[in-house]
Amino acid sequence: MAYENLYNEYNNNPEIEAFIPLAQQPRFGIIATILSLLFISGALMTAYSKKSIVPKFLIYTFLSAIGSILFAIAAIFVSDSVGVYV
Amino acid sequence: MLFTRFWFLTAIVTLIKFVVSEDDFIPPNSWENKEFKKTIEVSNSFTTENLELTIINIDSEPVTQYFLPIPTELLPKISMFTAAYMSEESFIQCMLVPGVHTLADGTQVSYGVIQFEAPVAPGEEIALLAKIHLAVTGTPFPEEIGMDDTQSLALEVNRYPISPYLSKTVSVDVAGAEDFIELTPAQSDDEAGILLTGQFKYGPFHNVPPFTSSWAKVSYPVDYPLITVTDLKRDIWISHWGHTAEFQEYYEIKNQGAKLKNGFSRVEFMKRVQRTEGKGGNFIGVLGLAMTENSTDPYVTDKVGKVSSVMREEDKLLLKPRFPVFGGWAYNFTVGWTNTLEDFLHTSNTEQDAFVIALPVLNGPPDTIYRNAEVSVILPEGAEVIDVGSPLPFANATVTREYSYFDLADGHAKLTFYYSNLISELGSGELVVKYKLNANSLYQKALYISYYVFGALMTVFVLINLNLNIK
Repeated sequence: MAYENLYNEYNNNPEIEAFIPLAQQPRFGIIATILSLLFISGALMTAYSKKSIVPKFLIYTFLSAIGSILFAIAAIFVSDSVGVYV
Repeated sequence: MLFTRFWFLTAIVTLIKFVVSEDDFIPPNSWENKEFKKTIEVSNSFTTENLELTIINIDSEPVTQYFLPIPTELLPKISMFTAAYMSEESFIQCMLVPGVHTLADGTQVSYGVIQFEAPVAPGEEIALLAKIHLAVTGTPFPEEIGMDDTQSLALEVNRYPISPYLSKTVSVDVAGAEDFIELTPAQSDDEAGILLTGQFKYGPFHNVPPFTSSWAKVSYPVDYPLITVTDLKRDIWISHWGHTAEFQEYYEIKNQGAKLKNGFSRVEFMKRVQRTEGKGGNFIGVLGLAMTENSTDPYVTDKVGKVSSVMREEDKLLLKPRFPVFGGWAYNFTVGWTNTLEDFLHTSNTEQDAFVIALPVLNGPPDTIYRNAEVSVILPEGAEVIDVGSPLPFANATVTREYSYFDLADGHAKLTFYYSNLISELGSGELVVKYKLNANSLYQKALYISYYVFGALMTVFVLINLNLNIK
């Protein structure tokens, strides 16, 4: 029986472990938020600087990319921390 | 013990094909009922028929099927039909089949079939236990009562099991109430029921011809509400990032008990509660909602707002509705809670990045009939469904997409099972879903968010450095 096979597979395998435990996510969320704000602020400051366009663009892209990834991580961890599980 | 713990491992009822044959169907006369004892349990809001059968193959050839008659009007109301050998702990396959036979008194009977794995040899005797759970209850009798009156229900039962085979010894008991009154007089003294302690007995009758039928109406007192969930929408959200399983249920419940004769008076009701210390009565004063074990963050809301008259008692919520729900009245509410994922989710050793989750079909109040239940399992975004299993027959199953917070790709895969005429006893059965979610799919959510933020920042860069001055 298909149901019985699935049920037995469920019972014969171990429980999943947390990718990142929920209890630790608020701390990681705050750290990621602060870091992302720092990187994005740095990127914006670079955009407003008087440097020539090519190095400015490269530095801005690098800082924006890191800041974006940190922002995404912060968004996920902070929303999990307040009970909105994504 | 076998029935109560492992019923869901049987091949239970397959869906009846709702194409009733126009031809009159009578099963082959292959069996003789040496003993047929039927007990109709009315101690719950739903009805349970327990059958103890000793049968003999009187055919000249081996036989694999035994037909059990079921009134056609009750067929859609069957929640569970199982059978097992009395001598060993093993279940037998059961199914409902099309085919109708009309009796002399106008009763239409359809059939449940017990399908034996190995053919039963001519002359062989078998002892069976069969159980049929029906999502039906007696009707209030009288239909309206005063606030202080005790409710009675009337149930239509047959004095005989209406078997298509000759029965040497037959008895039908109605059990589960303090008192019984036979409302339909028997045509002979032999057929009249006998009141015993906690049960009402018809028979034993001897040498009963096939399809013998004699309907009776029996009333019994029931001093509690008849809770029916007319609609249930149950969503279970699975999150690998949050490592949680979030349950959310929307109930529309109705009390199918006797209605109030003189209308509702709050003063009379408060006097009654004070006099009886809140015990008894056919109204819903407090609703006990079972949750899963180790649940956290429970809440209850209704259309007005948050319901604060809720108390938690271990894994149960005791909800006091905004008003007592008397017979004929309805109430609706939403209840939710959260569990950690390890309570339900296991890894799979047959495929890489695959997981198997087992979730209870129902929680909710005990002793309840569910007319329509929609149970959805909402998997993480990026998950691919590999296989699903339901312990109960469902009317329909769909796979759709559901969008939620930060769903910037295809949304969540939502598996929905539609059930009808369930009883709360079947809620312990588990829906099993096997799905695949690899690391790329998991990180996809963070990447999509970062793409949009990065795109916005690059746009800002362009706008900052764009010089639109006219010189």
